[in-house]
Amino acid sequence: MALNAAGNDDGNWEPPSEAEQKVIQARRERQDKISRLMGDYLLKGYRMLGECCEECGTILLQDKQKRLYCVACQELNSDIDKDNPALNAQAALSQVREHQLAAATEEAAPFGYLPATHQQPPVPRPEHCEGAASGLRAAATAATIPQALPASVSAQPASPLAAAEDAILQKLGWASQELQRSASIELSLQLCSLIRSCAESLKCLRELTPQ
Amino acid sequence: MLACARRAVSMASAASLDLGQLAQEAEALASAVRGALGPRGGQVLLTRPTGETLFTRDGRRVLEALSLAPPTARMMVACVSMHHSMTGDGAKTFIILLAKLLRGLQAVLDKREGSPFCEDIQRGERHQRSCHSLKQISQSIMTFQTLLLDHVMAQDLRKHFLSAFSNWEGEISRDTIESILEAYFCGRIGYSDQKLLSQLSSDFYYKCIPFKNDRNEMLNLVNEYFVELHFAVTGLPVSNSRILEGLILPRDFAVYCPAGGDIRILIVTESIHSALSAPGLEFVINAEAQYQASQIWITKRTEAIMKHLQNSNIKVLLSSVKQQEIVIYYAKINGISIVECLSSEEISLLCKITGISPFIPTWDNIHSEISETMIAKFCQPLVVGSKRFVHLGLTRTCTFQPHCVIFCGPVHGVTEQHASAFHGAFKMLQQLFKAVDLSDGCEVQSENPNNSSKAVHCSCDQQLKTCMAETEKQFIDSSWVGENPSSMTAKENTTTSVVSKEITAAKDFWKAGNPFNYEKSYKYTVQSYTNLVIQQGSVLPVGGNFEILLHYYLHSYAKQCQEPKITVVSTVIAEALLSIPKILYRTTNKNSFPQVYFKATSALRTNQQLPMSQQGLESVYCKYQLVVSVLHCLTKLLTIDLIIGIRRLPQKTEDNDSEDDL
Repeated sequence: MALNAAGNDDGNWEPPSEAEQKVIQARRERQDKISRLMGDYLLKGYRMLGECCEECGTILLQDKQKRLYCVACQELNSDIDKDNPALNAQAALSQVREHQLAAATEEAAPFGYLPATHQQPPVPRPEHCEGAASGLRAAATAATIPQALPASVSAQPASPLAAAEDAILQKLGWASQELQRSASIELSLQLCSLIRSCAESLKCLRELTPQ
Repeated sequence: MLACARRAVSMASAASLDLGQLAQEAEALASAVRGALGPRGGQVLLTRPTGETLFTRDGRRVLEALSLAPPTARMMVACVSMHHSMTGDGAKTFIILLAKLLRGLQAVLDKREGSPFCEDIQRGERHQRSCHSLKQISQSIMTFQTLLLDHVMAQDLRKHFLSAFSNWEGEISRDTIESILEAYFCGRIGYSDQKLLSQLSSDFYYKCIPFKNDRNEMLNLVNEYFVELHFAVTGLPVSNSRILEGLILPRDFAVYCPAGGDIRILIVTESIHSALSAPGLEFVINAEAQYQASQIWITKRTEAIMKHLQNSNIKVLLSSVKQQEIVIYYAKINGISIVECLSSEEISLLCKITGISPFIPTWDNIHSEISETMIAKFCQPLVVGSKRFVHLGLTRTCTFQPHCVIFCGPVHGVTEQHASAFHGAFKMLQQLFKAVDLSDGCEVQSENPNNSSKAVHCSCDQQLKTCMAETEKQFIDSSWVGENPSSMTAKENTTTSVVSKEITAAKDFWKAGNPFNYEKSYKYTVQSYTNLVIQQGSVLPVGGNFEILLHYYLHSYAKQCQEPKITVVSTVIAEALLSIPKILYRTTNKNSFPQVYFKATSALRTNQQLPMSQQGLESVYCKYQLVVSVLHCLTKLLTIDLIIGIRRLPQKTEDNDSEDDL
């Protein structure tokens, strides 16, 4: 690449590994999403301020009632930082490993996608973005799950639909057991959302089967 | 001044420039307008903080209506507005390109600390280091723009340009103008009105500028006086928009006396019924009788003037001030129509078109012949919608044939948009006929291609000469090389005589017949005979072709460039340029961006012409000017050291320059 021709400090530069590339890609997508949302709000009459949000560094917007609004914090759910591959290299590595595992065992693994799209139930947040945020969340959840399934289904013939159903039901059972046993709120919340995602993917799978 | 500056700064907050924040601001602005880019773009519905809505496709209008606090964002919007007002083109493309460039530069800086821009900094805190690297980047960008861009364009892109002229004399066929204008309006007006407006604008062009000789002057006149040459009428459907011959004044007659035949018109800028005394003079009255006598004298004088006007066969008086009742009374008696309260721009347009100057009645010329009159074919009232106008039909005494456009629309917003898009189209046409010279990088406005040899500089680039020599071999018979050009001016050295020889030889070649007739009326002109980077009338097919070409050649240049800074800058610019065609092709399935890109690069690799998939042409000069303006704006932004917010403007005790303010 042209950049390699530059200077003598290039000896120890290697191309980014796959996980790093995922992080870069996810970061770019996040940036694109943030700027698209900001553009929409600007067109709605919000005012762009000169300050940045302390947590995520995104530019703050101000609505007509003079309330501050950070697009990234309140719509893209930064509560799940540790699971979002855009913000955590560890999560990216684990996601890559899961993908490899899924490919190796040739099992339709919609779960590969689910932990990364955990939607946390809302922590107390300003009311004015409730509507937008919950709408976005619902849309995001609904969008990601069917996205996972056609990928898996198109890769192989129709029989793994049944295998997928079995796997989901298994996981559902396991999750409900864990839920009964768990003592921490965090874990319970995560398990609840896992169960909800399982149920939704089960519903989608059942819609897909030609009956 | 120092004291109040200190006071101002004490309540100020200072922030250093953050490239990431700049990039975010630019991206937010770009995403607000990107949906309207290109022929497949839609309208933008914008809500202002006051609650008004705006429904438009015009990028500049959208950006100016956004409410922005950061001074850098406002600076970007100001750059966009300035560029748009100069060239009439490219507000959305500007901001999208700027956003991609900023993001690309930020990625370069973040990637490794050892990028070539951080080399020379040994120590110092992070902030200083980043400022320094930004300054180095902006220097490299300026170097790129001043030295390399022209060079790359001259060497590589020039051979792809088409010429809008249909023959050597510089005539443009109607089809070409229509396709250029259609492509322009496609990106700016909603779908239903595009065809009508492009038809209207090409009609207007051909009516106002029937001959190509004074084309540039005429375009200049149209653009300068566009406000006086167009009118908007609401309440009528858009299809009622039309062009009327002559000049339309947005006034009604103060007194109207119909007259036939040739009508002599006089322009006055002062009141005919003079006041008792002039400003600066003292007028002393001692008695009532004196006052009465003065009034009577002045009235008699006015009567004499009006009589004299009638004797000189003046039928219409155009006045820039409001005339007194007595003047109107005498005008009615003598059969003279009066139009009052014309604006100074209208008066200056009339004077420019007809070449006369305003008449000032003095004691001397009351009795002598009035020479400063213009002749009109007709002068009558005109009613359009609910407005009344005065319609003047001027005779063909000058090269500019004045015509006026009336824009009709249901509401004011629609007519305003159509009018500003129309104005932008003519600004763009003015840019079409500009050329760019290689040697000193500044624009040369030549009258027509024949005279461009006289503007040629002696300092031809060595590579350029070899390029010229190569192409010359292909097209010009060797028997012509021995001819001596007879009509060259002084200041000749070997290079200019070589160039002029080629020009005269090429001219003869073209007269003999042009074997390169491709489809329709686009003729592929070989741009080898001058050292102009961009010839007059250079066009390219629409659809992001300019961006793809520049991207391809910049990449190939960067591969063999030795300087690391220039390489990095070229790569960043090349990548950013691709964002435009990506957006243009985003919604199509058949002709999606990767396909188009693949076809274009494979054609370029094998040295063929680009595949022309779309109708419509765009001016190369406008695109070039856009890239230059974006690079200028970028360097301005990157050289900001500190943003100081102050609550009040400092008191202007002496001349002071404040950086930025809230």
